[in-house]
Amino acid sequence: MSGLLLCTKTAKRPLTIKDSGINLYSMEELCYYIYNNIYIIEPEFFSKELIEFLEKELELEKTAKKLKDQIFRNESYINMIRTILEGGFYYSDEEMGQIEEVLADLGKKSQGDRMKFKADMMAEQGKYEKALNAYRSLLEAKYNAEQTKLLGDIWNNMGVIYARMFLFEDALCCFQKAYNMEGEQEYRDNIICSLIFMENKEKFCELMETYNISEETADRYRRAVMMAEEEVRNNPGIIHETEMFKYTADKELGSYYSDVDSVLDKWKQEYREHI
Amino acid sequence: MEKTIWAMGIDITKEYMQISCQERGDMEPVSVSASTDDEKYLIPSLLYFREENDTWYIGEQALFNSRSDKRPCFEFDRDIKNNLKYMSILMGELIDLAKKTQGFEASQMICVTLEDYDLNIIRNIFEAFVSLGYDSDRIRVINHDEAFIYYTINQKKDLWVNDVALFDFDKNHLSYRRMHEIRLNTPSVLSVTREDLSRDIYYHMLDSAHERKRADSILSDYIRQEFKRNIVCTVFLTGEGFYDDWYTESLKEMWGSRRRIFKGYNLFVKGACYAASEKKEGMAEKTHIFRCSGRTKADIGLLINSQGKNMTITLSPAGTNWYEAGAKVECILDNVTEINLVIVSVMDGASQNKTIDLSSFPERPNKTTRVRISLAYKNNDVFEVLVEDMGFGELFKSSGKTVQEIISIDDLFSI
Repeated sequence: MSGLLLCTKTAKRPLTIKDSGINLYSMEELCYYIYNNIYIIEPEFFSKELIEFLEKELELEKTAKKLKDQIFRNESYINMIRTILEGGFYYSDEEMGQIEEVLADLGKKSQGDRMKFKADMMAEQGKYEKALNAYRSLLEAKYNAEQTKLLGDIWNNMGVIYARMFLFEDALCCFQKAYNMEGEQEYRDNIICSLIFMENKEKFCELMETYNISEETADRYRRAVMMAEEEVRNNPGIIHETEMFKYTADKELGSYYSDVDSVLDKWKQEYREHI
Repeated sequence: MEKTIWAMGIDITKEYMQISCQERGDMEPVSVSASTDDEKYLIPSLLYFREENDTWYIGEQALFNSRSDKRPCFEFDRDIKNNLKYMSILMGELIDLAKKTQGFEASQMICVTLEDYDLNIIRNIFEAFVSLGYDSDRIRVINHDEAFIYYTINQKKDLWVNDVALFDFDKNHLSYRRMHEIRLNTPSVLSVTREDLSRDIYYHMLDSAHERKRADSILSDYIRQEFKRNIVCTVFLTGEGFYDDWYTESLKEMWGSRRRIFKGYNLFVKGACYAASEKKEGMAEKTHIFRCSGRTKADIGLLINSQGKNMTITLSPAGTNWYEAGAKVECILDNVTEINLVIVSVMDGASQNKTIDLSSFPERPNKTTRVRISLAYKNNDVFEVLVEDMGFGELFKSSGKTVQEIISIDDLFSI
């Protein structure tokens, strides 16, 4: 199906999603949000506020009543997801068929898997501190103790976050733990890249022996890192920002400081979002 | 208890204004006289302000005072129709006159009819009434073509079982209108065609006996030809041009095979009253589509998907007053970068599709672009479609981009 979907009512008072602070104003937005965050939606999402939003703001009394009954009967929250997605007419029959597969998969996922999805989502959104906290909680949870694959992925993802924050020593530590859990090639690749970025020759030589990294392999990775760095250096956005920090005689001092401030403000804002 | 009448009609031409009132929906409208002593239904289209007593006058009183004071009046065509202040004063004075002579306090609906109108005049009329405390929902503006239809269809059906002719003759013009009902579909289409005969017959011809005879001859020839081509069962004659009996030959042609002939002066103003009444009830336009100047010529539809079903929704139906024929709808783009309009001619049901390209809107994941589609007519032939990118709430911000397309129905159907 394709074409134009006729929109339903837009709410005057939105539904605010607690974790993200996003406001949703329509059934279409609600359906989109639920489907695109399906692995991190928790039973608490189906609250009194949601029902009131459906009933009073969107005037979807039938869907609200069905949801209310499901909550009363203590039904699985997966059924509630289905109720909303079906009630929105946002997804076609074909798309609902695919969604049913996702819902079936969701039903099979362990609590640990779902929480990891949530942490992964936070990492993707750049909410690094929140993601790290979520991963740490997962590592401490006893129900995950036997799941070495899951634990390996968690350590690896933590390492990726630290690397993005330029904390390469912490990143290396995490990648090593991941590799010790499950000897995945991806974890090994990350160890090598961390070593290159750390620029610590002694450490590099020590771990080359530990992880059986040949000189050819190391060179290959060094070349890949150099190419990636070159690409970043040539990025128009990066060039533009770099230029803004260069003071030249033809620039008016006031506007130079203003440009620098705007870049710094942007970086500060990005940092705040990472916390 | 405050007396409220059902409907009020106001007809304004370059020369004269008239008022009619309908006390109840089932009663015939009555013309309102400007004077309690005399039957003076034609009110000169004049407005005058007397500073000495800080009073506004209309009609004969305006003329009298302006002559006394040796100062000019405001004329409707020249000074009033494009001036909101004078329009408000004029409408207020007309309503007060009707209230005084008819003994009511308020009218539920008011309709103003003019020979023709443009958007500026319509706006002035609506704003004038709003400034007088009326809701715009209670006001209507129509032209003489429409007033003719409303008047006719409120007469007995045998008067309009076939075509109906109307000759309108005043100091400024002689026009011929013919109303024809097309019964192929339901609702049926009431079509008015108009022809201006002023080039051949004009008011000053009536000043001389010789020219009157010539005018009569020209008119009777015209009627003979016209009534040969079309089956006309009723003829209306209106305007001061028909006050004297100069058209004896023409009358014989009109009479023809026992046609009904009616002469009067208040056809349009009564038609306006009927139009006001019909707007309140909404009946006429459910059983008929009007096809005349001032009315839209086509159904404008939009192809959509609603609750899993493909369908066409009507944004703007044919036969609507063009200034009221706008629409707004919001949709989400699902794997498309265009919208498709379906335009169906009211005359023969011919259909044309019009695609509006939206590829300039930002790329986003599927079904995360909400668009607002607004349609507004510029006149009864040309409409504008504006499509705005609304984003998708806080999930995807609007780019502020818009796409605009202007469409002529005549060009589409090569009329």
